[in-house]
Amino acid sequence: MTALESFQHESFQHTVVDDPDRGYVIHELPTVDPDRRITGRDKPRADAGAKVTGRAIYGTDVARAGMLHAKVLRSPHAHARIVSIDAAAARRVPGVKAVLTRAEAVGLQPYGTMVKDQPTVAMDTVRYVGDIVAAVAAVDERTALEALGLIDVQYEILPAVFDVDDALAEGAPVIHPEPPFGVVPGYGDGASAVLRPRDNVPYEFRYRTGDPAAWQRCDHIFTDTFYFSRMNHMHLEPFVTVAEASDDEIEVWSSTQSPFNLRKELSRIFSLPENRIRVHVPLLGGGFGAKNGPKTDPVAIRLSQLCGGRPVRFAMTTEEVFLTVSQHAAKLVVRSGVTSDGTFVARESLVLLNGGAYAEHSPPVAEKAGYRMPGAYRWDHIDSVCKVVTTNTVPAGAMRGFGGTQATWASERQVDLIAERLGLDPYALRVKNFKALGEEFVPGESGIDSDLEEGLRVVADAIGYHQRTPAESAGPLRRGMGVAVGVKDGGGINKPAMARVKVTSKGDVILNCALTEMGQGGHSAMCQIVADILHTPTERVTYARIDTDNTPFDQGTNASSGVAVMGQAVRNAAETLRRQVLEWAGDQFGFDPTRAELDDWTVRGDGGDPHPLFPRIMEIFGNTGFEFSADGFYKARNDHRAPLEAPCVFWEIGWAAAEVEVDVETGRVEVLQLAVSGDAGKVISKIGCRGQDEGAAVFGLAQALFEEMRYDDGELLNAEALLYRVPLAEDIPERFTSITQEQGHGAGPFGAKGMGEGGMLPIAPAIAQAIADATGAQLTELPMTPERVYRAIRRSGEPR
Amino acid sequence: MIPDDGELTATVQFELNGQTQAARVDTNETLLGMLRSEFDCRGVRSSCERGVCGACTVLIDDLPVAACSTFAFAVDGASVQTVEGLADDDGTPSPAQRGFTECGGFQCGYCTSGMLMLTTGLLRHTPAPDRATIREWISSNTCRCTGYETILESVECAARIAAADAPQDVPVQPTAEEHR
Amino acid sequence: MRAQALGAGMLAQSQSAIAPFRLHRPTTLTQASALVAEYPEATIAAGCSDLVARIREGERIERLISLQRVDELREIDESDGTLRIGAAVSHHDGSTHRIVRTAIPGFAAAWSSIATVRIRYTGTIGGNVMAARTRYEMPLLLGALGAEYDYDATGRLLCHVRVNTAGLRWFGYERSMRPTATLALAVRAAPAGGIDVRAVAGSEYRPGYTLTAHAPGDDLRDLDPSALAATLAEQLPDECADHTGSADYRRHLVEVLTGRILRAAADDGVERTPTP
Repeated sequence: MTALESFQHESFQHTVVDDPDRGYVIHELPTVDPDRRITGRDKPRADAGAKVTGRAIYGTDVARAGMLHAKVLRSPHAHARIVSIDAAAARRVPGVKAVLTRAEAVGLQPYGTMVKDQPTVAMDTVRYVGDIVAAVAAVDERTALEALGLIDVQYEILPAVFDVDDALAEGAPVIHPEPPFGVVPGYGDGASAVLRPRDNVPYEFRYRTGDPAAWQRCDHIFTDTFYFSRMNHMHLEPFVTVAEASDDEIEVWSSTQSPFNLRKELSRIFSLPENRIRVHVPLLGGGFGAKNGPKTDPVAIRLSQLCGGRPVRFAMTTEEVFLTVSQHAAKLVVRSGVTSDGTFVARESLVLLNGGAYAEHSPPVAEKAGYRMPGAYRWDHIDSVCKVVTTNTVPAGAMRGFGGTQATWASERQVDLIAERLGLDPYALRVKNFKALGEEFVPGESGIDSDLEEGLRVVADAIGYHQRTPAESAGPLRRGMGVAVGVKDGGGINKPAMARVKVTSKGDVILNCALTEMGQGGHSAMCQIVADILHTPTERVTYARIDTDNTPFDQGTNASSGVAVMGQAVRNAAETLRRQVLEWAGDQFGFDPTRAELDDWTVRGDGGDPHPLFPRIMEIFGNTGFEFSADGFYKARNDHRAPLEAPCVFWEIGWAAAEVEVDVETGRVEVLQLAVSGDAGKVISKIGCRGQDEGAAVFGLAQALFEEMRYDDGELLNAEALLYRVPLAEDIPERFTSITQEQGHGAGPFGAKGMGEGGMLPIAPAIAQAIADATGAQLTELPMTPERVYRAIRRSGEPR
Repeated sequence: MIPDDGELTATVQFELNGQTQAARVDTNETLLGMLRSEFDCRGVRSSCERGVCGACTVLIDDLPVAACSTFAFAVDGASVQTVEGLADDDGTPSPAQRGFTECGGFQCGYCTSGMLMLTTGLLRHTPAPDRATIREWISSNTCRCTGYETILESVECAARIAAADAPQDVPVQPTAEEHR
Repeated sequence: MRAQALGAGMLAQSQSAIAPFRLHRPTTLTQASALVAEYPEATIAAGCSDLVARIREGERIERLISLQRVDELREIDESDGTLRIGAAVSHHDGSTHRIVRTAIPGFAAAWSSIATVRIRYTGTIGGNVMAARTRYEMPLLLGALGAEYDYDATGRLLCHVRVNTAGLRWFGYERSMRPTATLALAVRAAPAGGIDVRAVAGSEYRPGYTLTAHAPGDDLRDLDPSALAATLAEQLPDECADHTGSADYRRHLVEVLTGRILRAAADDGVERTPTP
């Protein structure tokens, strides 16, 4: 099968079965046989052995002969012009091999996703506390630090802005006076974007559909403002790169989620052809979105170039990771119109994302935050605008949820506010307005591939939501429950993936694809898919190490695309290989390959005798034998009717239900029960699915209640492990349940969908609704700290 | 008494994973640095480097300690165990390793060495820990991937495996609630 | 992170970049004290867990006097109504020690709740106090108990912590609101009659504030928790506001938490400190 054939083979074959009154098409979705067997679905993950013995090799473990060590000097100012840099004394320190300041960075191109505004080291201006000003490579980190201590930098302080309102205010300082190079991707029906519509806004996305006349039909229109806090990814393995580079060639070992994306960015930064750049990816010690795009790479590479190609290792400390990339804080203004019976009609929203000092990954996050504002519901009219706002804070980028977490917080919270105002039950209001199974998310989109009501029922039942009793009023403790659902388009937009499967003469299988392993269990799941198709034990399949010279192309391990997109490429490769082998064997042994079976490197014609393949391969090819090899490809079809130019591959949906106990005297919230559920479509790896939902839910739990990067007038107060509070085992509710649904409508292999982000989306709104259920207090700002809860209770009148 | 001028290096004699070792280390060398560079214990992970996250947890005289916040000189005379020393000589994994493997108490794996050492220390201290005790011990270290529930189950599983392996009678905890 | 000396920026001090230092490992208090006298610039540490964090924050050490081998600093005793705890006693050893648990059970329970299991085995009472981090909790507990600190002749080497247990009626610690607010509270029979209440209110970003009140009578059951809580809370100054709570809110919390601790004390109503 050619790549093009496999493309068609895997494209959606949705059938239009209905065209309901409200203008949305309902697609008939494929539904897989629930008994479909998946090899080893409950077995331990393939990487267990390496990880429980400590033998796993991460980016931090990579060492090269003669390796130097890099450290950097970071800006102490939020916004300042660099008047002068004197690094002469640093260069004279024994053991220093290279010093990188703006003088050595002339000609390097800036980077960033869609908007290219971030330099390798600061050129004229520093734009946040932590911006890299200079770097040194030396025989060890101590020497590098000593040299950096001697660099004299004169700054002229500029006014700075830290939040979106200040950055958009009249007379605000312009953080990037020169418009950077940027690109707007192609958009389909209803979607559009503009670069730099005004100062301090590098990217603005808008999505509109339906007739604005719908507002006329609304009995009630509500406008509410919500605030979303900012977390750090806090992956335990820091950003780390080992680089060996000359002016002609670059080779890096990088802790990156997206090796080919990194290669492309490096090609631009260093003006080198992509085939002169080779990116190796070891195991990642967590990513959660942070490890998309260049991080430690440009500095390590430039330093290596400056010292004659010696390997340079640049590993950040945890404190530096905090100063490199974060989630987006956001202000979300949502205006929704409904009829008096609670039917949703029209929604308009303005999302302002605090993008920090550089574009980083903000443009696509803005696209998603804006696009995901409809939530799980049917609206006749949507008008959604999302602006990235540049501020003098840490650059914000990709993070688990990717705009969806922000959108879900506002969207779901407003559903609860509407329910309260109309005197409706928040559960019933959701169900009433849910999209049907198969119904387009918006016109031209693929159909929602999960039964939304079924998922809500699952989590509600798990905590006894429908049996809850009115809040007790004795003593300071009140109990309440809440439910929420978050929806995001999964699988990346227009994302192609490729894979190669090879089988040695002996039947040992090598899978070669660029899905990076950062904890999600992707390598294990991909190997299982191959093993299932080749009918061989999972242990016989190994996942080849990733490097961009040898690994088939992939856009990156993000957007929960592993199983649904790469999984299809892997499946195609394995199926093609199986067909090749059977055809060759049919020829050799004289049977019809279409009726033959492959079973652990033995073939059997239609009910005939088994033929081991190894002896025949040796007989025919001789010497060291042969290796069968096949490629697979997958990509969703482009379609201009789809707002984002291709229909979404699958819908990643997270449902949650929470029970809380609120101390109305202190505002302290304890989560007594938390149930989270995702729809895997079809489970490839049970522990993998469970791990993704639970891990994501705990991110959401922390964001709901306490975890945040805390700024005080621009100063980041808790940018280190002791003061930055991440959840510990003691923070997890004693009754914490995850339920992996298998509704069977996914577009991935065997009906699978992606997992990983959905579980994060509904947690904070579910907890907020539980707090409201317990106390009457409606929170609109994250995190829901004790003081915020206490004040909201006071505002809402006497607690019930 | 006239005080000496202090040492810039120190000799450490200690037991590492059951073997007697000696090294001359600079005073400023941390146990984490020494284990990774002198003894090739690369399973001891470096993360926050300030004693909070516990990725570098090792056992010193059977107690969990952050190797990043311990100077190498301080282990003179002590017994140190790392993840490399958990399996038997023939490679048979320890109960903690088996528990984490079977229950999937890891994802990216970066915290796993430390979690395994916490578990090993806990089971030496309390062979049949209840959920609350497990939770208290595991709360020493950070895992950013799992959400902890599978780690708690892994520790319970490890305790059951250890009890089944143990020659003497050790009371066995009831099994964790089956995950649905 | 640390500031660069020339004011040009910030540097991420990493562990592999710790500068060499001279190490002294005395085995007696006399030796340790002599070294401290000889080297006034030397850093003193026992478990070193906080020290490594401080180095990462920019503290430079040129000479370290390690107290690890000074066994005298790990002694605990009680006599004549004074509980004496050596500075190098670990949180685990101290909070589980028979003498501590008998002398002030509420303090032993509070002590066993701070930090984490792993840190409790290494961290010491002296290190926690001397680190002077607002986040650390021993100064709050010891402050409420009116503990006194015994230094050696140089005044730099903390040898023991002394707590007067005579007349101590109740000790409670509330940390469920941490890091927004923590509250340690001790109730004592006042020398001139009546009951003295001494509380320390802590938070993540501010040092503990000492709050005191006096109540007539000598029976805990006669205390008026609400009135006492209000008296204590109003002493919290406006500067107590931090990034986890406003001053008003923190005063409110202190009132709620002290009220709860005092009610528990009153409900208990019995002599909690079996002082001989």
